[in-house]
Amino acid sequence: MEVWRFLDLEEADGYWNMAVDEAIAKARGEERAPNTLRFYMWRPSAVIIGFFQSVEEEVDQEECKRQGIDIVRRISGGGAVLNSSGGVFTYTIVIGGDDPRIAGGIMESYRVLCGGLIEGLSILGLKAEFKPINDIVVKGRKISGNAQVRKYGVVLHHGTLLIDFDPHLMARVLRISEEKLRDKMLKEAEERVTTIRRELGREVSLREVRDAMFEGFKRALKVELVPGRLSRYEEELARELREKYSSPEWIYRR
Amino acid sequence: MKRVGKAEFKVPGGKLIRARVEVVNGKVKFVRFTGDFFMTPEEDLEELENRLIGIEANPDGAREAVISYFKAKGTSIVGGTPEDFAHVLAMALRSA
Repeated sequence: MEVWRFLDLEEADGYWNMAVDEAIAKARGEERAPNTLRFYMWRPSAVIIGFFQSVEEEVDQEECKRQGIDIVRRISGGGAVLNSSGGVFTYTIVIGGDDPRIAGGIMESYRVLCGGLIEGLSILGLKAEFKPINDIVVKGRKISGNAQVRKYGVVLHHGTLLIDFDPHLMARVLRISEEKLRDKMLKEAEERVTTIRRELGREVSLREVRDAMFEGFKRALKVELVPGRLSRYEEELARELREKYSSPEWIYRR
Repeated sequence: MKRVGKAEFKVPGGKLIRARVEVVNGKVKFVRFTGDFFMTPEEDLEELENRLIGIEANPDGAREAVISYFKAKGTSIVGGTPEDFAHVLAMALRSA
């Protein structure tokens, strides 16, 4: 069976988390890293905006400052999310650009790579579905948002999985577009977003979520996941990239 | 004299696209597209914005410029089309 590297749950700030993703992608593109699945958490909480978004348009910066929430721009497109510390589980897949699993086009590759979470959620007892373009839903409510970028000759695919969240905090720090609300005809975050805790109706430990997702990705991607760590080269790249991710030039570039 | 305009458009079944423009003496001085769409290669958007600087601030002409840029580059866009970007820019110019 094909072997992938697995980087187990670590908790870090958003600049480091995004720097590590890009470092792995760059190293993978240079054939200096294997295909990789990574699990990670966020401390402090952070608002992550898509590559093409503007901080000013998406984020209440004063509120973030008051709450001690970082503002981070990622390298992939898509929309802003609040990755709260402890409440959001995140994962990254870095896979070679010529891999047959992603040969069916962009839409199909989202479906395939999101398969790990869907399988993992089913292990937890939840029936989840892929909802194009890039969401995973349970009973029609979004539980996971995902984003990809094609760069360095690889696909970097990352996404969130909500364990628990505070819709009021989300509503305070994210500016939701009027146009978008009208289109979806939904007003409240509670109506369109859900969490593992809410769906299971009980407390769920991070360990339980991690174990289910580990098994889910193994099955969906049909790979053996071997625990590993960042190479010295990747660590070095990540330290350099962290400078970029934490610089105002990058954060406020749009 | 500087005029500014902006517009946003939620693509049905797709993503949100916003445009901000500055017009000076009837010419485009600045264009910025933002939103939750996906584009590969991502550098194409900035190149398009730069190429639009200096063109006549005419919504129809600007619309054509956007569409022909994306068609020529073969840019891959998820959550919108070249026509959607052209539409938002034309709206922003009309509001300027």
